[in-house]
Amino acid sequence: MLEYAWPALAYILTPNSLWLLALGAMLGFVFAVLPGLSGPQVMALLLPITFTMPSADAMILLMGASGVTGFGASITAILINAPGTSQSAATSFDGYPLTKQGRAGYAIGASATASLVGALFGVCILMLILPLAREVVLAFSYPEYFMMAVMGLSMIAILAQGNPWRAFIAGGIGLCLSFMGFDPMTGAIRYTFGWDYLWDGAQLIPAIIGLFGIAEAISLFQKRGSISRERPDSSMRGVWEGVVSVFVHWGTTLRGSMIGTLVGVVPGVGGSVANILAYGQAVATAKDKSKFGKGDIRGVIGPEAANNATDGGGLVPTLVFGIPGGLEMAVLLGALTLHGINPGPRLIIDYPDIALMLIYALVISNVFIAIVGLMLSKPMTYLTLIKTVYIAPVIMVLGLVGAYAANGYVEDVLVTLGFGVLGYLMMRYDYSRIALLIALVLGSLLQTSFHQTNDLWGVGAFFTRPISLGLFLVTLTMVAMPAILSVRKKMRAAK
Amino acid sequence: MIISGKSAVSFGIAVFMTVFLVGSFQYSPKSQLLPLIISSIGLVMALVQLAADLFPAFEQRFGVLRQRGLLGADQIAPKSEPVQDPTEPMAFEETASNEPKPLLEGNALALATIASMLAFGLSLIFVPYYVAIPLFLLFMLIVLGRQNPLVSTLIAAGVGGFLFIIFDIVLNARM
Repeated sequence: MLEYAWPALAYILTPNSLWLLALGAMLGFVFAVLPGLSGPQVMALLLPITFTMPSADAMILLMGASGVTGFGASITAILINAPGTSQSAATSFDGYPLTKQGRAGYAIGASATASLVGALFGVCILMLILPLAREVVLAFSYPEYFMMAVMGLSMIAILAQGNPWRAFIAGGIGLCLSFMGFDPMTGAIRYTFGWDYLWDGAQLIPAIIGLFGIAEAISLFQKRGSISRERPDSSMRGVWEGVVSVFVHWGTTLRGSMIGTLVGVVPGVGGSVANILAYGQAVATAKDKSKFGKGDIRGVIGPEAANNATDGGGLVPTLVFGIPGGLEMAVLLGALTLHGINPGPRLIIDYPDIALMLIYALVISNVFIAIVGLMLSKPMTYLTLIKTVYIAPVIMVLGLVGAYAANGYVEDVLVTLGFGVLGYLMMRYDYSRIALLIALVLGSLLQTSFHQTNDLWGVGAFFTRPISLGLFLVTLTMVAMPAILSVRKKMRAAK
Repeated sequence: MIISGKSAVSFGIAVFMTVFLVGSFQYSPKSQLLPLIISSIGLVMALVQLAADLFPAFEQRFGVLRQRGLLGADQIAPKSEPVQDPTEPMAFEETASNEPKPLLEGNALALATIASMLAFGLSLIFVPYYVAIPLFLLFMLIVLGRQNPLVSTLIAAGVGGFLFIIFDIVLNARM
């Protein structure tokens, strides 16, 4: 494979390839900034354009669009609390409070850099584990999926800010909503109330846009003034401080990248789970938790590193088995098939140049968009100065049209609005929207993997398989650690 | 007994959990297992919360209902901050000083905003999005927000035009 490395690199650095990469990256970025739209949509729309292109060029264009969506979606999460995709939901937890403090440039600088570091880390791990990828992917099965879901749900306890009782109720609502629709285990159609639309369950995109974007817009429209409650720091110094913070909090960056890569390797889990897990680890491992939720830069760095690292991890099952690591990888596999390339275990052997091209495209598109993001971060901070009465209706339009554009269903718009009202009430009466989202994201993975494990091996498999047991112990440690540290601190103080 | 918006929300959650609990009985044991467990626990928790909202003395008895944060996270400040009182001045006052008073305020404005979004969503069935968007924005900005008509028209045309260029011209995606 090494003999193909230089020719593939030389090809991707030609002006034509770089132009295609930049075009794909810019389109992916614009789509990710629009709430509700992301990589799969832009890739699906670009697919017909690639029919007449050489295979390598088509993959460069598509991978360029796919690779940048993580960072693009975080821009709206930071500036207006409306994550462009579910992959960036956790970024808004601390990114938006920073914007309200006039530190949007700081958050965007950190986000761009953490995204780049995460993507590079993911690719490095991809290169390292490609020879061992088969074993790594096969080591994960239903018990491990279940324990990953449990680990994610335990974040509700760690992140239970405000009243924990109401946070757990919110988590219960999220889990109940995740039970709606077709049950893949039994074929039952549950809780659809005679509405065909609900056969697919409660969709994530309308839920996220509604809970965060629309709810925030309703609240903003009632206020006077601007999003930023302080005069924004529009100097490049603020942006550079953000860049530097990624290296100052190197541990958070590294752990976020590792979580993202690992989650990416596991097919079907994806960036939505990775960024929540990474946010949880950032909180759990921090000595001073007092600023989380109020604008702690580590709450931006961890999720951003993770959601971009999933792309590198996601290429592992895609390239090794032909199993898509996520929706974007599924579209990519479709594109490969359309170009006469059979995805599967022989892809790396038969088409090493294409495999390398995908990896290079992922790296270069992330470098490109990080530079663009850093250049744009200063003007973007001025957006937070615009009167909320102007911004709020625009967020409503982008959110509702984004939900509509994803599938073309008016029902999506109505559900988005329903979640918006729910989110507004939750904000008002101190119910955690984050808890609801975490439970909604993980609910279906939790129940499917639970039943599959139970059917195949019995409940004991959760604790007899080493990786599953390891994940369980890590979850226990994460949940218990703050209490242990607190007791230790009190004992030391007593001495 | 205090009947408030908070207790109404708790009541709504209790009804929601009841619907899921009762609904779970019509499915096979495998399908109903997790919904039954989660909605049962959720219902009990929602009823306790409802009782706390209705009777403050009940809330005083149970510290967990007043607790902030969990697992030593008492250092953590509330995430779901209450919606700011619209009449409360913002810290960064410069942009707020010359704003006209909106047509409605408080809950009435929130309800009007939600109704406008509902009308906008339903209008997508009958008119193209590039017609619905400017109309919605003009209504929100000029009628509800009492903003300058010229600026409002420019924003409405700009957003509608931007989305038209992205969807219809660049991506040829007919919505």
